[in-house]
Amino acid sequence: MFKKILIANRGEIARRIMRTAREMEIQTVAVYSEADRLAPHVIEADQAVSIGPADPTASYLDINKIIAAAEETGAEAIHPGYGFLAENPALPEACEAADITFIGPPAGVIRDLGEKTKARRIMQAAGAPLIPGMLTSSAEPDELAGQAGEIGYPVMVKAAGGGGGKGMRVVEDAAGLTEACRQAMSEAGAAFGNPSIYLEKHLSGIRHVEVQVLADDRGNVVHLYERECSIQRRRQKIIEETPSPALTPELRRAMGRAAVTIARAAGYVNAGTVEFLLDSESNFYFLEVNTRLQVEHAVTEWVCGLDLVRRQILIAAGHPLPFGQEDIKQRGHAIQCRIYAENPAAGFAPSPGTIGLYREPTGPGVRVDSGVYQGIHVPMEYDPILSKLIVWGEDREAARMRMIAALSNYPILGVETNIAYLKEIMAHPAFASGETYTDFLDQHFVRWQPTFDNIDLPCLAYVAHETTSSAVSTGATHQSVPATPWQALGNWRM
Amino acid sequence: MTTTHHLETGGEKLELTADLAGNEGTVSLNGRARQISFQSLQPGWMQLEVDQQINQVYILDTPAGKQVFINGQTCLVTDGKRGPGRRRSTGGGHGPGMVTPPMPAKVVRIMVQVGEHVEEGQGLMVVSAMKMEATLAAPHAGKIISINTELDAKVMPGQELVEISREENNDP
Repeated sequence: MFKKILIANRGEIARRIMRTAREMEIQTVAVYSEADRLAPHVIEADQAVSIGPADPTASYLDINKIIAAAEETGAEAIHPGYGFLAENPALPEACEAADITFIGPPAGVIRDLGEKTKARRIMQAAGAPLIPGMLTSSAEPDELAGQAGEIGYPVMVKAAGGGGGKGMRVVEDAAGLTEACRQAMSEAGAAFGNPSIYLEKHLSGIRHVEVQVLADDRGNVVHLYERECSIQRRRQKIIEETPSPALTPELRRAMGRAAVTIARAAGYVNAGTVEFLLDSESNFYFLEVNTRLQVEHAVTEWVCGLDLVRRQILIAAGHPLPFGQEDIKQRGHAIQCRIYAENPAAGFAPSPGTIGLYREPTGPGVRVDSGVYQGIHVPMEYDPILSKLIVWGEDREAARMRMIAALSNYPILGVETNIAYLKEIMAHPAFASGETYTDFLDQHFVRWQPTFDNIDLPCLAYVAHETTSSAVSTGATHQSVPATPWQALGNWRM
Repeated sequence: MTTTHHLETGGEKLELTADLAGNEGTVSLNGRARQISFQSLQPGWMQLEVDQQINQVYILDTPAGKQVFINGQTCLVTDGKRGPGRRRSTGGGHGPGMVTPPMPAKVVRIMVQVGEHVEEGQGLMVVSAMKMEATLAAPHAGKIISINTELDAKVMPGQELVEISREENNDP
């Protein structure tokens, strides 16, 4: 087993990975940019290496610095987390050259599945159902127009060089195709250094359902069932749950089998996710494979009773999977909400700043994976995710009510957050009845503005707080007043 | 001791008269009297009992007013009489009234032109970074004097991207 692992990431995921490593008695090495010197993942690591300025291209995305940090500290393995370098094949290649184990799939698998049209061809050869569309990318307007005609409008324009919604746009008819392709190629070029695009049929009334897979290096592959991730804003997931309310047991089995087939066809090793789209007739179509641990892995952990990071480390250390598909069961229901430092009432503008007050909800079935603490400054250079709030309940309704209660008890002040927004989504009748499609927010939450149930209360609180703040005391009841020696001296006489 | 407060929150104005002795008393809010008692548990954390209903309240003092969290909802309460001038922030980490991106970003859409009149809160341009798009809004009504950037430009926090002349303001 590894004695020391370096985590090439930051925030909540770096912290979460370190937790499991520590439990396995593995030493942890954190890397940090100047903006993260006092970040929790640095504080909680055994060792920390400074790797440059806040700009990620000069720090968290700099493979040379990451490898140098691992060599300097004697780390035997690197866990990439999600985002940043997690799906960049150059990192596992550099690890191999430096004789460091990469905790994830082989570089070749990441490369193959990272080129989206190649991934589609692999999947087609494996017999997986595909979204109708192109199997090679193109930059030729005539070819694209011809393909679009064959596929049938509306079509979805996608980047071939990477996923995550970059470059994606829907084209309703032939008139809009040229401009959409031009924009998509520009975005794709900027995001992936590769402007190639391809077209797929745009499906509507759909859900995004993904399947977690786990594979060891001996060819054993299992799936850990599905996650329902349909509630997305601009193609970014904000709420995830498992099991999916849309799946029958037969469909669940079929999708799980398909995911395992796909993982095998790609030669997959370690943890990954096969994403599908599910249409209104319960047909599912392969979307893409995410060759990394995902943000929403926590809901699967709870319902299947597994620690996925632990599994990743064991697989990377050469251990075979100690269980088979028949051993994996789902129990209860888990929901995750992503807590962002953003203001939903102001166009979701990111809200960097200092967190003046922060208290996590607790209790049975409540888990918080956080990258912040009270007093920390949230930097503006990174994805504004503050934490993940995950709950488990005996069934979906119990989990939903638990999430509402947990959000109600999660005060974060000093930056704007999406907590009130998430709570309203949880409480919405369409969510309660499991009507979660990818257009959920467009249907129910356009131009959202916060409401306050009882506007009297915060005003009463204002007055009460003023009263307690102005009370003379040596202890600071008022947070922002620093103690001075004159206060500490107390009364004195001449 | 009786105190009067003119508070603003969520676009509403409320007048309170508080008759408190120590940590309890009566507060009249827009004419309706409530019995309250309160206890500070930790800095920023208070128990507030109103008409025998217990509430957990979290409060942070900010330059713009008190940010209050109750039961999953957050609002900003400002003192209408006091307060840091008439600058109203619509949220986000933006500087006071300057049209600047909240993060290093790229300009992806410009929705206005020089000479155009804009209202407070009107969207001026869209910037994009790290998967997020943000719309920069006019901090006050006025006329666009200059647009100091262009499509696809990389911009930094602190750069003033749009200059807007201030309209004559009759507020004190």
